[in-house]
Amino acid sequence: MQAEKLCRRRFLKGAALAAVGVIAAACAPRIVEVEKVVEREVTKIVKEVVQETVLVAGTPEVVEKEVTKIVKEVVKETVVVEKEVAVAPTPGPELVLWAPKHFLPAQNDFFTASALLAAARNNFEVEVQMFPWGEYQQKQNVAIEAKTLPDVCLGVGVARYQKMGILLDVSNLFAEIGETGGGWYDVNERGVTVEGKQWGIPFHNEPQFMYYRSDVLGDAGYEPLLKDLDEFVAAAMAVTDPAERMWGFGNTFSNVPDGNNAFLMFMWAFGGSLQDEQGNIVVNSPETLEALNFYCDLYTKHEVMPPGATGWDDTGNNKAYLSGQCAMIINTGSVVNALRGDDPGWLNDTMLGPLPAGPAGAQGFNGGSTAGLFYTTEYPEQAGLLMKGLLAPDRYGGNLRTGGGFMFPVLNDYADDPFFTEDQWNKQIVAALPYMKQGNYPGDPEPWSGDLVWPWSTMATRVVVEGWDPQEALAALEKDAIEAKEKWDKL
Amino acid sequence: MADTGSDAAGQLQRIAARRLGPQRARRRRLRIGEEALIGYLFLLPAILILAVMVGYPALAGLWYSFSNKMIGFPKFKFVGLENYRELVGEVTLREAVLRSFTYAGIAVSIKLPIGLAVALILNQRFRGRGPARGLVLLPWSLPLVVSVLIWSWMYNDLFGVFNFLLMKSGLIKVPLNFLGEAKLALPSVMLTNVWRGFPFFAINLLAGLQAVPDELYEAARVDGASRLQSFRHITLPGVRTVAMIVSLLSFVWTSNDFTTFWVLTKGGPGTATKTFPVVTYETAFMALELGKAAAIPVLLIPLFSVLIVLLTRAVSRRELER
Repeated sequence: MQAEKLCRRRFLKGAALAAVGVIAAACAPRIVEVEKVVEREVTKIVKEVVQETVLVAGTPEVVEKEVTKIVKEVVKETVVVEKEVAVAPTPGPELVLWAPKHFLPAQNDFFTASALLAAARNNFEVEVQMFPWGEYQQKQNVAIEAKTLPDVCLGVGVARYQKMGILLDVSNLFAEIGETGGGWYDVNERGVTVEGKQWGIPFHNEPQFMYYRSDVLGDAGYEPLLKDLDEFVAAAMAVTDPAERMWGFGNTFSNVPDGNNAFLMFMWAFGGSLQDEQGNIVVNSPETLEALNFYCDLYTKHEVMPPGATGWDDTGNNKAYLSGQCAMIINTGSVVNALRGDDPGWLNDTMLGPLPAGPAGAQGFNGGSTAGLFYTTEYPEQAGLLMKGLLAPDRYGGNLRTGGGFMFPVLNDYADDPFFTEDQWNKQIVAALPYMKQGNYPGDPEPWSGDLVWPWSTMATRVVVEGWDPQEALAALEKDAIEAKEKWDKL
Repeated sequence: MADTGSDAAGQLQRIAARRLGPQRARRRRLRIGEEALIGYLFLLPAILILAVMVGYPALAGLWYSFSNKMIGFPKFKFVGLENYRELVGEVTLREAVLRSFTYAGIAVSIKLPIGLAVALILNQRFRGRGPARGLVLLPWSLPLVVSVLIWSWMYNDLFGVFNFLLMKSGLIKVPLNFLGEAKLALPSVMLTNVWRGFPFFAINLLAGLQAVPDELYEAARVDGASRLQSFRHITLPGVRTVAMIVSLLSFVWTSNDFTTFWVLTKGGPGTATKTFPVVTYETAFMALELGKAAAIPVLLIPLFSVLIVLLTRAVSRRELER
């Protein structure tokens, strides 16, 4: 039988059917799996060695005997209890939620599903829009000026936005959510409190810490976790071999978040800081200068960093570690997530911990995200319900778990989740958490600090690339900080 | 018109013609007025779009440049020339402006001969000329961010293809830090810009070459002129005006280039590739100082005006030549 030629009518019909199918699939209601932590009784057979006294030839003797016991115990586990259709039963208001797009698609999907479910349960709709972190802040700035803000935005700068008067006071909401989660961590509560009120809802903590290739360091005679910065330099120098394309330490010097945040840890390790507890600018200090010299010497004097680090983007040190060209880097849990997904052979040799101790102790940096409800929202009640839903016990734990070791809780109850207490690498991150600090440490978040454009990476790069005198570079940063503070104090 | 002659009919016709003349003239005037109005009505959408998309933002920017407007703060006040005074005193901006114009000048100087060479080749007859002309446009037609990202990967010190080839060939022993070394960063950005920009020169110069009459070359051949002499005395003068126009346009666009710098280096390392568009962006969207950021391009208007005058003269000269 001869094949029929495809006529125009048939082609158009087929194309129309395909389009209808795609639209129908896109409009299909989202089915969301809801989890719950349940307690389950399990029966275990346990063998024990017990001592008992027996008479042997009339003489009491203590002998050991193995006995088998049947023991029942209660264990907690997370199960999917039901599937819900994330569609509001009757049409309600539609809110817009902005959120940053993270590296793990599963986490992004879970977050979106949580938002849809929260909306459906409270009879409204939500459109979730996600953006890469890179230009997210600038996108928000444009929306602020154009007054095209979403109802809720995850990833706000609370201090700045509160000063602008564009955030809603969410003190009550903050208290309610805190009660459901066992209370907030102090660092997160401080981060959203201005003049005694809360202006944001913390969502996740994102610690940054040292990665160690224990195999590479072990071959050179060093055992992680390294105890102090002197040992860190010695170990880095011992393993650096450019001919073999191995460097001791990798961190970008360029104008990207990784490059900026890592320097903070070194500065704190030497006792320096941008501001003191009262908010005074104290950055131009002998401690910060010592930190700057130490950090820059890693590149220029000790040469333990790849020469290209001054031109890396934000993924530079990730790629360097994953390709086996750096023995130590500073990063978030994104690298260990990547190792889990596609192990190049050193996942089990990877150890995690805070930056080795400087004169002021071991350090870590804590980022994360905070949600803000904007003054332009017409539905503040629904916006609050949306946040409650995202942080609800049946969703928040799952959100953290799908984030791998990248996302850590802001509420106390989740610290005991087996995902954090039993996983080999998450345990190490949890152990490093006490050292974590936020950018404005030891002061509170301030609106003016956002004016400083890549302050730390610019300062370091001026020294190593442009040949500035370190004291000059530090003085320039101090000048910028003072100008920024004065500008915001006048507003 | 009928022959009036001297008879009564002719006299009547003369009288009728005199009477109808002014009416016809009025009708003609009305018709011209209507046609002009219809013409303006057709132009109106374009004028409105220009007014809204270009005129309003330009005027708003000019207004903000005399104020202390900050993003997120609706209230602001007129501060006169305060922003301009501050900007003129900023060393970073002065260096950025100089860097922008140096970068644009060198980039255009490289794109022009490359574009001309490619145009000369594409003006010859050879098999596959059509697809070749299409391929030449490829760098220019790719989305800017996509093509710049590809270049950033090629420049990478650990994985980049440039370092791989250079090391494999034995030309270098350690990878070059294309985007992380002050001396290499700006030339690396420039190379990306040249790769993207030479097709624009090539296609426009090709159009200019095709407008040069073949008879001139034939006549030169008959007179015994060499190819070099033909190129110097026929080709170059023939494309001179087009070359000037595309060079000036490219200079303006290249000095305003933001995306290439932001994606490749974000103005780094240090301030090695910080141009005035980068400074403007950081001032507006990181420091939130919209007023000050608006003043930067306004400050540069006099410099660009000189180029615009030159461009206008070149365009007028071309029209006269036609």
